[in-house]
Amino acid sequence: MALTDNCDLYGSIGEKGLNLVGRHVMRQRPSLFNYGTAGVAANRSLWCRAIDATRDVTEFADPLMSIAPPLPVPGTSEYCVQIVAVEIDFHPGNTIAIPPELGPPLPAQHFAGGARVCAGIGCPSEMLVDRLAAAGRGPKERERPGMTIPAAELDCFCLELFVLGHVETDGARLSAALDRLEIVEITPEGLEHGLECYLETLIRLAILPQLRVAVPTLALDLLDLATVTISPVSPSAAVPNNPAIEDDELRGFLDVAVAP
Amino acid sequence: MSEITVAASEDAVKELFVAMRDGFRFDKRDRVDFGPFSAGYDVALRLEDGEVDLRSDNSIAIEELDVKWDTLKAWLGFDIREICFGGWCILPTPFGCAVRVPRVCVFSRDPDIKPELDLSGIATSEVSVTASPETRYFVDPSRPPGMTPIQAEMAGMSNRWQVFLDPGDVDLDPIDIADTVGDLLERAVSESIDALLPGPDWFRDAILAILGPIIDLIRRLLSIPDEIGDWLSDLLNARLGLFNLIFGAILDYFAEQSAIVDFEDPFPILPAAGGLIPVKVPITDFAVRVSDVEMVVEADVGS
Repeated sequence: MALTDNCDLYGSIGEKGLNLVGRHVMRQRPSLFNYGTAGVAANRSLWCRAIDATRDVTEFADPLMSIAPPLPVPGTSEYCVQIVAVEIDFHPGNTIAIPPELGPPLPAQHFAGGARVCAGIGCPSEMLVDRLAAAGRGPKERERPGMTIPAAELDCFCLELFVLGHVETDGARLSAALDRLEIVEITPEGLEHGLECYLETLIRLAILPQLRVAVPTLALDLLDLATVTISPVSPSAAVPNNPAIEDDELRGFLDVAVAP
Repeated sequence: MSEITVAASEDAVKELFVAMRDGFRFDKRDRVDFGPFSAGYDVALRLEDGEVDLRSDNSIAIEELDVKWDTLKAWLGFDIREICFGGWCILPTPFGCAVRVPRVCVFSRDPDIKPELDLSGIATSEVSVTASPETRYFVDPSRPPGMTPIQAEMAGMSNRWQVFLDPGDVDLDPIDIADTVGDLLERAVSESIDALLPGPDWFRDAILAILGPIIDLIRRLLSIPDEIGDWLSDLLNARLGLFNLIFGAILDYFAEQSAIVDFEDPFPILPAAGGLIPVKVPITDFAVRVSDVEMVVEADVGS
């Protein structure tokens, strides 16, 4: 059976290739995955994990860590959040061991995502806190947003995040959809649910909308000779899922129109 | 199994072929001297029709692609030694000549006789090519060792994956000119000679009577009217090299000049933004194969 029996153009990418792409993005654009207050960003010894970046990132002086604003909490210390590993697993699940809360095995036409996130919050030394208290600086700091209390080191911890999702199209746009999210081994339960709810909302409302691709308008110039317009094949008995997640790949079936 | 696969159906390849074919344009003018005889052409052509067929032996056949001549003009030039008439004195006096016959020279230009033929409507050509996709990895020879991908991009020295069509069997019919061109050429020669001669009709008739042997010689040189079509075809195809020129232009266009796939390696997936370098992904084991129903491009992501 040919790949294009039911379409003009077929494309697929395997999970191994996509995970390699993810690693290249992490090494070449580390500031997308590492966030910290100005004091942490400027002091590598405070980072929870060393950042692996390419030679080009260093030579072109790209930042390794994005500067994050201080938390809007009185007496906030330095902090950082680092996404240190990201992986995806297309159905059938075989590279990520999804936790029981997500109901393994991975359902058909679904993907699992896993990420390891490390974070740390600075704990100021007792001596500094005593000196600030004696000087009566506490209330003044609250009146100056953007100030953090310096820390000599960060207390770091790491979390394992898992997501379950699928890819969908409404005919006009192709997008990833989040079904469930799970953070492993956080107690108490209320804290875990609160964090999961916050992250799900963040992913659904802030991250995924930016990843939508308007498929019918995807047009390419062919050698400056013609415009190639690509549109998805409508689902049918021959193509029940488009895009499809199967055999460890994300697959798309497209029709092509060439116009001068 | 490759990590990245893109396949195009035969129908999609046909649509892309039509776009490439319709984008082909070729025009050129040139001349060649053969001593006292010269010839030249002014051509402009495009391509029409033709069928694309994907084959199970990893090849693509383009059959019966018509060469359409928007312009196909040929000219023949004859440089004849200058001949002058008159200038004789008809009323001599002791103080010199009082009245002379006007002096007229012919064949003073180069070429003197230049019949032009517009063959646009009576010449035909056709080409058929079988080609196989050939993957090449281009490395700029001037790229210094140790240069990073971003440094290479900024210096315009990025490596590239390219796929060309490597021609196998090529069949380009020579330019075929119908023998009816004989009358056209004879008329063009006569008009060219008439335009060359000055003065009233009686004077031109007188000169033509004198030059008769030369004009006959030109006609004999051209073999008019016998097999003039073949003669002109041979002149354009072989002696003026037009056949090889067009042959090369079409092959260059489909096989050498226009890579059917051409992209930078590492391949940029996120553009430079906000002062940050672009994100690029190395592509390995890039290959193209053809079956009788589709063309498949496969690649892996490098680590």
